[in-house]
Amino acid sequence: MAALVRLLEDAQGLQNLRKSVGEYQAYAARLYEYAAAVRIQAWFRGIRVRAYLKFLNKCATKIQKIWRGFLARRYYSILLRNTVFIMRFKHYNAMASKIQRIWRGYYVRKYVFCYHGRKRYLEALQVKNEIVRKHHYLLSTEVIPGIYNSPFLPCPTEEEYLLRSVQPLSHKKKKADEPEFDPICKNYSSSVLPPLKKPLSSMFIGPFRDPKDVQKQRYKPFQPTLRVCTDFFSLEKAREKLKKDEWVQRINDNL
Amino acid sequence: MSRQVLQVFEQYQKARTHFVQTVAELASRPQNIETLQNAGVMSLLRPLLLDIVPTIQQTAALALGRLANYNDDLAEAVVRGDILPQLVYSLAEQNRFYKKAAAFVLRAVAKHSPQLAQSVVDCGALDALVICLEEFDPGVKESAAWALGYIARHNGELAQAVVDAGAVPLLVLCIQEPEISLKRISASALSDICKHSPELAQTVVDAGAIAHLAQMILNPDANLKRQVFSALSQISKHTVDLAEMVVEADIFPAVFTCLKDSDEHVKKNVATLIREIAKHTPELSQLIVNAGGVAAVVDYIGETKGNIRLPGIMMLGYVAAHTENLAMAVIVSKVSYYFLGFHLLKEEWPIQAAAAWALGQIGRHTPEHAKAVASANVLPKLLQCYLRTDASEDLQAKSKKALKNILQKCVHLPALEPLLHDAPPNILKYVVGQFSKVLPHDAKGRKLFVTSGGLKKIQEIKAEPGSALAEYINAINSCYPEEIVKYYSPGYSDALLERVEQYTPKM
Repeated sequence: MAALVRLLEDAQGLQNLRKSVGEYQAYAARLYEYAAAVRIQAWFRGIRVRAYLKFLNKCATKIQKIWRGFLARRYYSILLRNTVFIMRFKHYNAMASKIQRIWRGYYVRKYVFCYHGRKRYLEALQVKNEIVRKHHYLLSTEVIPGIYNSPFLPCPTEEEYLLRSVQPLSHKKKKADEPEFDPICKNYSSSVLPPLKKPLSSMFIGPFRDPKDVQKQRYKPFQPTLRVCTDFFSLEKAREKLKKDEWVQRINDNL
Repeated sequence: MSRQVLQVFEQYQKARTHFVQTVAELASRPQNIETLQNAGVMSLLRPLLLDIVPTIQQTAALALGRLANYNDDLAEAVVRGDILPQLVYSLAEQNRFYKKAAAFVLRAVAKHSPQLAQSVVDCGALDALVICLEEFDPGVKESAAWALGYIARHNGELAQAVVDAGAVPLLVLCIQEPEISLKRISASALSDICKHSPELAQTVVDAGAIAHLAQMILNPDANLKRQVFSALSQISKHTVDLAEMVVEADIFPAVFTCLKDSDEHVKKNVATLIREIAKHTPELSQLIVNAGGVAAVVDYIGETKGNIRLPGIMMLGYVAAHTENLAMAVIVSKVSYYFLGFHLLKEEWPIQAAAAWALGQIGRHTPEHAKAVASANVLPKLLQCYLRTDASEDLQAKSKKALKNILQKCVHLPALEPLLHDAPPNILKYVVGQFSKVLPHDAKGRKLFVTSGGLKKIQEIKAEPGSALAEYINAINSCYPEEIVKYYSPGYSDALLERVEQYTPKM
């Protein structure tokens, strides 16, 4: 207890000591605390400002986003229109090429040159040549009987008939009479119609044009334009032909 | 008394007869004629023509004819001696033996030259001969037709004179007579008339000759066939219409049997006929090809020798010249280029030239045709023909043109290889040009080109820079890597050796 009384008598001094120590500590801590407080404030303010800036950014972004979307949609619709147009155009070109291809093939085969026809002709020619080479002189004539037609037999043998039956591949002029159904419909001017085809399916209904008009249009005679008839290389070919004819007819080349 | 007088006359007559007969016999042998001429036989025979006795007249005329037949001096002597008018006059009057003999004299005189024939015509012989054609006796008709034929043979005016005298219908009638010799002579006369101009040929055709000539095609007599085919070919050679008329007489395919006849001249004339018909238009050639004509002609070329082949070769050339369709038909008929090529070295100039020409016509249409021709190893032979120093200009020109035309279409490289080594620059240009067109697209071809020594040869060619040849060579060189081109360039081995010498090994 005495220590305590003694301490209590000294309490003021202790308290003063404590205060001064406390004051000193407080004084020492003041700077630190001030810095800490500033720091806390700065951080908080920073948060607020950042939040505000973020908000502002978001607003600006949103505005830009909407605007850009608007512009892009306009641009997109134009782009789409163009793309669709190009796609359709290519398709039409492809179809036109197809038609042209078919037409040119038909035209060349019919009016200019047919490969399979030529092939068939050459094969038939070879057969004919074989017959002519081997057997024709064995055929009997009016005056002299052939070897298959002995005068001692009552009638010629079958080889004779076989050889006689071989006709030359003649170039007959085109026959005047056409077959019954003629696709060109040359004599359509008469009132006789071509024979009936299958009835039209129910897809084709409605008022039809006058059949005569349709037939006239459908069976128009083929009148190719000069451009179609003319070969692309016609000029060069004409020159070559002139030179060639001159060379063929000239028998003697002695100058 | 009078008997002695008459005896003198009889002796004289016998002497004259003997003289004339002996002279006639002697005149039939050529070696006596010189002597007879020197002995002045002409002036002696002339009065005998006017003799009273018909046999002496006839024999004198016969002797005169044989003399005039021998050479043209004697014929001119006949003309100068004014014998012709007398003969012409008596042609109208006398009996048939005399007519035959007189016509023989006229023929003998007219055959030598156009001037002599003209002098025969000037004497008015044509009308008399035409009257003779109307006689019954076939011998007279034959002599008259023969004389007319010889007159018409020389030129167009004389032939026109014969036609104007009205000979053609009578000749056509003569053709229909049964005697073979008469047919033969009339066909020959018609042939001689037709050959000069289209109008004359048209006159003959208008008289209906073609049908009768066509009927005689399969007659067994070779001489007759010869003349018939000659007549038909002379008719058809002028214009397309005449050729078509000949064709319409249904001569094909019977004509091809005659191509295998045993007589050479018949074959030649048949080939000439086919050639003249094929020459005109593609349709006519097509007709011949369809009837199997090309095969027949190819066999004909294979079996005959010498100049007789010429019309056959020309026919193939004409057929192939029209269109490439027909040229393909010729190729397909196994025209045996090997054979045509064989001609190119062994025969005489006309055959070689014709073969070169025909090959050019066949091969010039498309690459297919050129390949078919070139693969028969024909191009080196054509080149040889072109390069021969002793070849005629005709042959050289034709083989050069044929080569050029075939080469411009040929893309079959193995056939072009041999030409690289021998060709002169103007041909080499085409060969190299073809290589430069094909090699960029064909890998296997490039390899073959290198291994066969073609690239080496290309490097050795000296071409002027800027010329087409240089361009082609550049194009070919650009198909290959540089090292290979350098390897094959001339002097490369020397350059390498030099480098070896200059190289110092690093120690």
